[in-house]
Amino acid sequence: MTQAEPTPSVPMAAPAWEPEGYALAAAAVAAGVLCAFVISPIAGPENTNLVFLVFVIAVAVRYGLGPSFLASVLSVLALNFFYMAPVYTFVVADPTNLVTLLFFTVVALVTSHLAALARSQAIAARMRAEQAEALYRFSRRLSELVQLDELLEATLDQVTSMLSLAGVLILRDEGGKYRMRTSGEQSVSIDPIDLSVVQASWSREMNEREAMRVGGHFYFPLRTSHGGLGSIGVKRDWATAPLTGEERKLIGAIADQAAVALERVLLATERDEARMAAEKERLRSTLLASLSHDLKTPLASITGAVTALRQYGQLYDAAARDDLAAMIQDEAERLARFVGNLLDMARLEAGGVRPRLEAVDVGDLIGTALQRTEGLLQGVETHVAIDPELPMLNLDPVLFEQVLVNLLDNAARYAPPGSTVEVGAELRSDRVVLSVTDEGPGIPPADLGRVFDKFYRSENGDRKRGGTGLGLAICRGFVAALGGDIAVANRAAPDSGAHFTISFPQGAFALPPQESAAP
Amino acid sequence: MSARYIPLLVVDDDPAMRRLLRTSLTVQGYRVFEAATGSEALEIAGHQAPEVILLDLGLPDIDGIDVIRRLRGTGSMLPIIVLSSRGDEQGKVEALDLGADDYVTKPFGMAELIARIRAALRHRLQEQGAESVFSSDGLEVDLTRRRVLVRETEVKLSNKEWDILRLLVIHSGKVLTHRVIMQEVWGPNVDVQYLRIYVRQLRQKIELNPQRPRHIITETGVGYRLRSAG
Repeated sequence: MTQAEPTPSVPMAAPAWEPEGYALAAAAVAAGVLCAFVISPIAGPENTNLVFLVFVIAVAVRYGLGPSFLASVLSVLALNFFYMAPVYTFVVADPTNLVTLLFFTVVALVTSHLAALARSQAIAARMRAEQAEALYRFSRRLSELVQLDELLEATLDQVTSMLSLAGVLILRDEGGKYRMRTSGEQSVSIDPIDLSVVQASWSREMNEREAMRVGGHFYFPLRTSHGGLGSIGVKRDWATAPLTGEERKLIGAIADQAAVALERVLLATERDEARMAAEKERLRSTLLASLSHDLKTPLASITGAVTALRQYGQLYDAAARDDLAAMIQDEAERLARFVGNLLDMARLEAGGVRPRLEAVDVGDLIGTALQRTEGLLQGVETHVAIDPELPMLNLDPVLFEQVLVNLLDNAARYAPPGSTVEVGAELRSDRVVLSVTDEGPGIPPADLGRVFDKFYRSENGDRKRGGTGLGLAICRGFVAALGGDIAVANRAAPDSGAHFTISFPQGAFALPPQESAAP
Repeated sequence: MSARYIPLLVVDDDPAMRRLLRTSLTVQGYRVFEAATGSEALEIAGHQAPEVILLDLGLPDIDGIDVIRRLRGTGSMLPIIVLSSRGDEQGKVEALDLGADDYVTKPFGMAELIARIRAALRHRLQEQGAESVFSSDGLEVDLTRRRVLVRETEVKLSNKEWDILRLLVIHSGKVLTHRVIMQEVWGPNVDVQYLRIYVRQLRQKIELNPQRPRHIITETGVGYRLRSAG
């Protein structure tokens, strides 16, 4: 796991045993002896004790109580040994010297105690400042995270780096379930009974409760206004090393910050899900409307025609009967096209379109597409212009033929009777551009950007054969899957028709066949 | 067609489809046996000696592809026409590669289905003694004299063009996969682009409007078929 900003480890308690402190205390007294030697001829031997006092206080400030006690004792001994008659012995001859030594001892001890206290307070203040800084960085980091997983990881990182403790996060999930996440790779097994106790603490009533000990872990609730979102558990051997108040406060602070960030992420997720659900709902209702219209309309015609033929067949002459039968065929074919579109759309949306590319002759596919749409294009002239220099393209022939069929189907819907639908394919320097152009009303300029959207239907035109709103969306999906671009524009003169173009870059050109495999 | 009823087996799990085929094929002179599952199909194929099978690929028990594999595995040369669905070009090619004779895509027109059945039956007969002259809609191909007439005008074909056309004529009305044509005309490992180029050239020579071919029909994603209108 990577951590953007490593949080420095903050010591939780003053270190217990610093041997160098005591060594330096001894050294300080030795320095005091030397200093006193220099100073006593000038300041008088009665003031040498002040020199020692300075060193004792210095040791207290720097190294704390223990070393300063040692310095005090050593100073008393040094004073006695070097400066009090008889010198170079530990014998105290003069009772006033005894009083001096006694006072010195008391003063040294009291001042070193005070100095050590000041020191430990300074250390505590620095530690608190560092912790506050670390927590601030933590909260800043949390505020940048939007993924639940990242957030959980950051929280566990924080516990580990600030307290050197392995943590476990247990999160409330839907339906009384929970999710668990541990720091690092290790897996933690938690007794199911312990787990249910932890889960119970998330209820709103229990929310006020502080950290609690369950099993081998100490759990801190992730509190929000809506009850607990989960808990952070840390493992500590309760008997030998209980959590200090300071540590509890710190984990509590981490838990509180994590809870705020967690609530934010969960709300954002919920909001996204709600938005997606609404969009899905909108599409579903559009689809239902489309289904009921596009399925029911042909079915109504078919049912009507079939019942007429069966019940009153003898009343019709042969031409009328054939007309009814032809209508049944047309409507059944329309149904088949619609169902085909639905299946294509479903495949696209499920990501199930896997093109099977092979070298294809685009002219050939235009031919088959025109053949398949022959019935739709009745009463409309079709004109095909294919560039003789056109290279073969690596395409999925089945998908691409469907694209052409959908474009022709669309053109047939808007082309007025007697007009011409032009189909072209040409090589333009480094692209192959195919086009289908009709002489219909064209597309309202405001809608040009939405033509390929699912369920878009043009309000323009007479809606003589209402489209499904799927055909062009499928075109866009398939063309994209084949590595091409599809676009639409209106012809230059107003109301003179729509011009669809599909272009394939050089990358889609089939390489010329190898000479070695030549026939 | 003689007055004899030709035994035909319909394999489809959809009762409506079986009913449609039974009704419409009976009047065409077929005696229709029905199977709803693959195992039923194999049993009937073994006992009733149908002369042609219409086989849906999506069966509830055995995959239709496996039915083909098992039938061909027993050495049966029974014509099999696959009833497939749109978009399943891979299934069609696989079925054809395994020895199916042809396919129709649901929903299909009855005329199309009957043309497929007739073509499949004709080729079984032809294997004993093929007719040497093909004639359809202004195109005449004489296999023995190696002559092609388009609206009574002779056209010259290159060797490869002739090889392709000859193959299509021998199997007229039947689909031939790209693989089969390339294997027969060139041998293994040839680029499909050659086939497409030669088919394009062939169409230039024998089609009235090469952009809207009436003889050599492209079966997209599968192969080619020579339409036989007679």
